[in-house]
Amino acid sequence: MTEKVKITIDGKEYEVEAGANLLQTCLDLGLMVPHFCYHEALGPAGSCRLCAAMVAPGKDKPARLEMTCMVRVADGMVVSIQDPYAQNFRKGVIEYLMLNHPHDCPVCDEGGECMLQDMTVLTEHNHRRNRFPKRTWRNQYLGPLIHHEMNRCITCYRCVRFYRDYALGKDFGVFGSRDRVYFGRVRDGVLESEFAGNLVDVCPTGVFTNKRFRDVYARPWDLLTAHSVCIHCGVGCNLLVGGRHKTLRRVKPSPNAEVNKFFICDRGRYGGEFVNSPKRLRKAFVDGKECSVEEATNRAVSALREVQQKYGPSAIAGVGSARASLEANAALALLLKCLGSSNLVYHSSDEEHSAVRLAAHLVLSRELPTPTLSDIENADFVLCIGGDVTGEAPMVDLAIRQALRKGGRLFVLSPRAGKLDEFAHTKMRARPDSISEIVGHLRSALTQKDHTLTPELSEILHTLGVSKRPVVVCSTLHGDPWLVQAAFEFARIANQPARQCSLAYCFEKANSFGVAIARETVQPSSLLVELEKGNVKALVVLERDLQDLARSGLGLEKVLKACEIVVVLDSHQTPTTDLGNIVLPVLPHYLSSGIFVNYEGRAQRSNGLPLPSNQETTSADLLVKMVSKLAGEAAYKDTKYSDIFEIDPSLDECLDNLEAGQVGIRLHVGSTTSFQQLQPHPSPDRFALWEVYSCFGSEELSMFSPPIAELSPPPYVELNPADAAELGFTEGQKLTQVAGFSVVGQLRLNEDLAQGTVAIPKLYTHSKIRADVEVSQ
Amino acid sequence: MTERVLLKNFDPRNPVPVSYEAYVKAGGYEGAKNALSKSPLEVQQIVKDSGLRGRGGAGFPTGLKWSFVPMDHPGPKYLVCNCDEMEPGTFKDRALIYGDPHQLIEGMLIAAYAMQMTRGFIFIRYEYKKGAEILDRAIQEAEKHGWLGKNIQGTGFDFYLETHLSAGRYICGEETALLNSLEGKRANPRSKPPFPQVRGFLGQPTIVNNVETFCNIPHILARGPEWYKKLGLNGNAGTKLMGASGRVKTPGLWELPMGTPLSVLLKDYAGGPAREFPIKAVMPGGLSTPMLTPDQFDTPMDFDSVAKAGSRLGTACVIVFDEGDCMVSAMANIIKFYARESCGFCTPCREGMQWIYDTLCAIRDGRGEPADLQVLDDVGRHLAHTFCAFAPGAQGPLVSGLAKFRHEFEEHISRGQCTAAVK
Repeated sequence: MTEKVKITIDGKEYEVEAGANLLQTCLDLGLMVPHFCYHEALGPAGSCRLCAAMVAPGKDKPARLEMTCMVRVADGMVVSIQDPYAQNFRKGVIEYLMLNHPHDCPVCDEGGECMLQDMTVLTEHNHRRNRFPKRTWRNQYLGPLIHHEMNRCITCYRCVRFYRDYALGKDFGVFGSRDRVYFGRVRDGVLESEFAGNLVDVCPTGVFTNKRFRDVYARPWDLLTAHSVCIHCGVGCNLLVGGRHKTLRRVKPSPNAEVNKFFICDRGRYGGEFVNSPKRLRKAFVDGKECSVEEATNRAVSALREVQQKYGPSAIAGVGSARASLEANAALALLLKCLGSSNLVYHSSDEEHSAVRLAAHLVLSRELPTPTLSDIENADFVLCIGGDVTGEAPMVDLAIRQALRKGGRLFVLSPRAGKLDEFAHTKMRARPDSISEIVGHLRSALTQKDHTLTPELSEILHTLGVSKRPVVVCSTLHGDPWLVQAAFEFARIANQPARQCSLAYCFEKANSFGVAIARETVQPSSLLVELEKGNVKALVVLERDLQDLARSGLGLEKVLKACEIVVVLDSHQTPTTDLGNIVLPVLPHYLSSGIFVNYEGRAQRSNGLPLPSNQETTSADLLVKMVSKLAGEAAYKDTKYSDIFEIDPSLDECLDNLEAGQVGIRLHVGSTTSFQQLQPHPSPDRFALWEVYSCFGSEELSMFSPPIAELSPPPYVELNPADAAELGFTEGQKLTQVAGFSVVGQLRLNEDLAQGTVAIPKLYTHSKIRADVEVSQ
Repeated sequence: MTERVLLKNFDPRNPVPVSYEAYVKAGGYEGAKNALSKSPLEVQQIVKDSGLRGRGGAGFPTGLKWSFVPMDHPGPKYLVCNCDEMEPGTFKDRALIYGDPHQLIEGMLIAAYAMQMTRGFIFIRYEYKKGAEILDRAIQEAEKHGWLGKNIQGTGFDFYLETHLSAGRYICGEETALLNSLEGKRANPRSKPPFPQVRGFLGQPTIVNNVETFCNIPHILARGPEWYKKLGLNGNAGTKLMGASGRVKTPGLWELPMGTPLSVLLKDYAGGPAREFPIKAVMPGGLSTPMLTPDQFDTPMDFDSVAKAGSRLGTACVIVFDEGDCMVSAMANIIKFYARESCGFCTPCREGMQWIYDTLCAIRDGRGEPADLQVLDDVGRHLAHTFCAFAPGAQGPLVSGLAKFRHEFEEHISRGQCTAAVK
């Protein structure tokens, strides 16, 4: 508990925290002290000199002009913000900043939400005395995301402090001196950091602006805005999405005290353009013919009823979606229940099914704490297991970077080098199917002192032993339930009264967690078997492309042709919608409201932008309509979340009343559910396939956004040089088959890839999907 | 003629480096011998007792500064010599390193011993490249004779010293910017506190002292604090290197008792005015010290007296202007330097200085406007509130010049040309 002290500000006494930053204290009290370089996340720099106020150590003591961002609150302090000398000085600072500022507000994208405008008005600077020429700069090309306009720069150093100091980026910096300070890259080029988009927000004026928003620009006060939750990974960052007329214009972070504070990754910021994609489904189709949504819905209901009557309930199956809301998945489950079927799958393989469900249930059980992003930021020991956090959960990566800045140590155990590796104290490469075993060794060594370990693994345990706030981050994206279990067991033993060890599982999609706690579900393989046998006659597919499901067995077309009726609800055109008999367009995320559950088990409501002239409805509404037609409205109204998802019934009311823009609710289960024992780990083949997740390219919806598609990597195949030599491949060779895996791309040799691993990027290339499907047949 | 202490081994007009042998013959390394025979804290006390004040310009008591170093610090501590002598009109440290490099090395060794520091750096201005070579040779000699390196003179104390040639910015003379530069970072000053004595080079306790400060130390240790105290006038300790440049007959560098009156320096040593014009103004210690006018010329040249006269002793290398000099033009020249050397970190300095320079040039060239003086006053006042002491340094000459020679600026503006200047 921090000590409270009394200070006087402009004649009024306040009780505030001792030792706190004086500027932040004033801002928290609602006293507006003009400032630029100070940013709550970046801290003070003392460079802009705008937050000046008269500060005296006590009453009757002489006051001095101080920069409040550099002063720590002490008992008895007397502060005068309104002092005429301080006001005059602040006005002067704005005048200096304006010497070279181009005053191009009418054509500047920042206009209306420009901190420089606000501060200029606040300090009452309104007359420019400078009569000398202004300096001009050449702007740089910084990639498809960010526009650079250096002439507007007021040299607050926020950009470089974010990019280099906060996000640990290297390819952006400050150049020059005197009144010629330049912020940019050594030469033109795409900014390398996945967090570069935050420059747009940290820049107090229009130097760094959102290049995509510039193309569809609207003044901020003309934007319709909604509190949403990011759809592009399992972290669940809070967003403010802005739209106007019929399109989404931009995405900004919205502070949530327990999730993301000020920043988001570029996938979140720029991926939202999928809403405007020409591939959006706008019309309903029945057997390839356009019709009204109403008509298509009726056809779907009657067709499902027919199948049920003709073949029985087990001939009906459903596929849920980790990118659809909890409501939509609940409505789908209800629809199947009304039809008497429990053939519901959510995942593409049995391994993924077990891994994600196990991870979600372990989080729900609350046996171990799950860290928030700020918990990760304050960790002094981070162990990343089994995946590349930068591509799988970018904001967890940014949180780990904060832990590193504060002196925390990072250990990485994965098959392939990721972007965080360069900061790792120790990094270890291991083939994908051996990682759970290595983590098992680590756990054994925690309990048995005589367990021998490699020096790297001993180093991990040694650092863990002296740490106070350790965090384990484990990937669930690679369908490895043994790893999920091993990570949990390791963290459970590492967790001790003196040292609380927390465990974060990364989830692939915004609602991966939500669908992983569904009560009724079958293993994907059993559905595939039934499909192959021709026992499934009707399939209802919710916001999902069946490509990945089909990959584990039959071709997509074959799978769907075996059914008499395939009802597909989606917001975008995919190979699956192309093959469905009844296709129902639904509102995409950001235009529809729904609950999403993030990696912590935190349920958050995402609001939709109420853009005009949207013909579509949400998938949840459509499915509810179908349920009502089949079984009457009561069926829907009597169903609770806890009937469908394995959560404590006490949460039902909370979820019903959940609103957007709040911290959300952490879900839990009343009683711990027991888990069926995992099958023994299959003995490894000579080679294992590893899908590499990258921030751009590995997420389905964001790949409908042109800048994300532009930044996504080309298809490639990676092998360790030793393996490539063994297989007789040479660098640059085009490959379609490697050790029995179908691949596409040129071979790259990677020293930093574990031997026995074939690495390919996880890529959604929407434009090429059809071609790939045809090739595979 | 007073006793020469720092300059006793060489002629500052033509410094030729004193060899190790010659230095020892003249009593060199006696101070170090004495220091190594005492405990570190005893050495600190002797320096404290001597009343030595930092010769870099601020005049902070050296012994007191040393006492801020946490002696029980578990990690390494560093000693840094500031030889980034970039103050215009100042050339005292240059003479010391070009003439008597061992004197500096001995001083640093004693300081390192007093604070138990095992690594030292001499941060040298880029233009003093030759001086760095002289020092490098002297360091090798000292290492050969067991005054640097491992187990110095069998005492078990280690001290490694090396030179670092600056990449060349005025701001590197500011101690925290110097440390950033030494670490390979941008030479921006750091915020204080923490002071370098507690968290300096690489975050460890660090002492940064000026060349001349270090050079005094061997003599204090060799001959005692009492002797040292008596060297100065009116209760000031030690001698001071004083220089003169500008409109004087014989510009140069001399070693005089601390407290010698400015008029004595100007007349007896610098030979009085160089031209037919009487002296109009003097900057007592480099470019960043406020100007003194003839009515203040009897001010004794010591830290407190010059401060009392409204200026600062600074480096005690005076810059002299006579009645033939145009103060507007001089001021534009002075501010040009500051506008160029600003590191660009904080707003009033980065933007304001260039605005002042543009305005001064306009006035000088006959394009001045009546409102310009208000701009100069306003920006000049705000220069006091910058991140480091650089802009207040520029404020010294600007504000004092504007106050003392305002009529010249006004005439320039109203008549569009210079009246006070060269006839």
